[in-house]
Amino acid sequence: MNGLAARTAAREMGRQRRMAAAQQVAVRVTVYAVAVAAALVCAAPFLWGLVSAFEHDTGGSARTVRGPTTEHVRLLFHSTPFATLVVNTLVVGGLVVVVTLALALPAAYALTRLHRSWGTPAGIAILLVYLVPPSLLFLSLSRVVATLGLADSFWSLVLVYPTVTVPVSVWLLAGFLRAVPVDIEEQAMVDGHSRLGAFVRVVAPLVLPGVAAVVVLTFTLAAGEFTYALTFVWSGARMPVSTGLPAVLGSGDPALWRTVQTGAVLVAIPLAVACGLFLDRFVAVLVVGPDRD
Amino acid sequence: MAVGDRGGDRAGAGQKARLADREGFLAWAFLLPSIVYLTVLVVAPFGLTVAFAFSRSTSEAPSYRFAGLRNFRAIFGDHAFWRSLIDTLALTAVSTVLVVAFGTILANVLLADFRFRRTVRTAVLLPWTTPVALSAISWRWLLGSAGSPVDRILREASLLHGGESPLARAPSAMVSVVAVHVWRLTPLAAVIVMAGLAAIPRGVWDAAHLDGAGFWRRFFGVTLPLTLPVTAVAAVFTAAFTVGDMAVVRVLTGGGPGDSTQVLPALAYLHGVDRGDAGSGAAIALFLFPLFLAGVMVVLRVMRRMGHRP
Repeated sequence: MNGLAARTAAREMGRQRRMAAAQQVAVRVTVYAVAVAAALVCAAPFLWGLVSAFEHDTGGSARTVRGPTTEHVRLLFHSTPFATLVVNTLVVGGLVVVVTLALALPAAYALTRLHRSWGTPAGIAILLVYLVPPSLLFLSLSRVVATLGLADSFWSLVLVYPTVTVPVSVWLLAGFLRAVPVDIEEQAMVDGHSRLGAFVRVVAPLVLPGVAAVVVLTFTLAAGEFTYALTFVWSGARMPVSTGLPAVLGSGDPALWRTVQTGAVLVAIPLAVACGLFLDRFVAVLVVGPDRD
Repeated sequence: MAVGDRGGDRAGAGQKARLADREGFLAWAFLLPSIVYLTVLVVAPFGLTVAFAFSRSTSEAPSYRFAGLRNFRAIFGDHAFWRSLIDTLALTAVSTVLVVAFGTILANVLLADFRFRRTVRTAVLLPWTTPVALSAISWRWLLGSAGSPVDRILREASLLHGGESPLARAPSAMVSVVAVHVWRLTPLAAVIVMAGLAAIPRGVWDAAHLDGAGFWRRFFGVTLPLTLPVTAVAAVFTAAFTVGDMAVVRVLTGGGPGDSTQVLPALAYLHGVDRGDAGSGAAIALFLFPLFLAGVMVVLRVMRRMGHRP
């Protein structure tokens, strides 16, 4: 009697263990399948762009495979203003990063550490600015830019892009600042630093990893913006890569299609790799946001 | 010395509070530059957009002349406007639903531990970190060129005949626009949902596990409800970036064939810049504002639920 019950129980436990193991395997298989499929789909247009970048252009006729060619890559640097466009993007992105940090770092500090009653509403209001679509403002901002004498100059983008990057940066930097224990700062003030001194000498160095993440994100957002760039800058040599490369196609030479694909891939990969390095940091602070205490 | 003094000045310490120590002053000095910057370049230009919408302002005659409801009457009489308004709403709704669904799945997978995780994560970030216009160029080449994988698959499935491309017919062009939006925003939604998942204490899952909840039970009974607020935020951002985007349409289809994929922002650009009629361009762009407000409402509600006190 007892033995039977024990055997039944043992059999039942074994069954459950086998089911759990089977479920485990099913989950692993699903994880791998989804991960590989997602990676392939996400990279698909660039993979194909890369493949066709080294193919010979057969002009739509029956294709004959004659091995890879570097002709399209050569054309990218010789027949298109790609290098100039990339330099423009780097300069605009760099300047936007500087302006953004100068505005967002103090703002994030004020929101997280200086405990004002208006701290949370102000923080949320700043974040909501990120939701404002540039397509709502580009017409009026183009007048503002023209009045300031910045029309058809990349300085217009340096001026306007922080309206997009500051809201996100304030939000993320506030998250990074909160991860710095208040005690460290208070100790610095006991040691004779002023509030400002404690921020500059003690807190700022500790949030450097977070600042690096925000630098990469700000640059990525600045490099990717399209609407303002399209409206404010119309001379080919002054455009950033996001409008300049499509403009190359607009000029109408179908032979340049493969060349332009190469350019898109060359821009896409470094940005994704750079952001990938900081992905875990974004994930860690995204939800925290300003002032939760 | 009362270091943690939240009141600001520390006169009690017998030391004259210096400017650099006064929290009230510092808070203002630190926050004001950002607020002024955003007010001057976002809030004021919005007011200017409203003013333009009621004006007869063109690129030839840029001075302000009040025109009442003239621009609105003109665009209300325009068939292309109504079509693009409806298309924009439908496109945004469909994209948002798909992005949230795919993003939630992707987020759960990206948090799991597997080989080549770094490579997969980098690949998955590509759609979001690449400038939209460049992605659209790549998609145009993948969808629209003869001999591309998509072209061959569609021909194999007899969905495509002769020399046509999916971007040259109205229904499939619209499907392509939706696909590119879903493709480019799913990683962003995944990252936001990942952040929500990471914020759930590990113990909650373990407790559910001990209580005998299986995988699906834990997913639908614990994970999904706990990440709902974050998912709502992901949905709002997805919708905002879809509704306001003109890059995909301008580069991928140019609004065509005909006017079949002309979305609101692209139409505003067409009127306001290409045709130089800033007044009607602004009037069209203003229709994005109610959608922005709806997004704001959702975010505020979520914030309140997450314990912020706006």
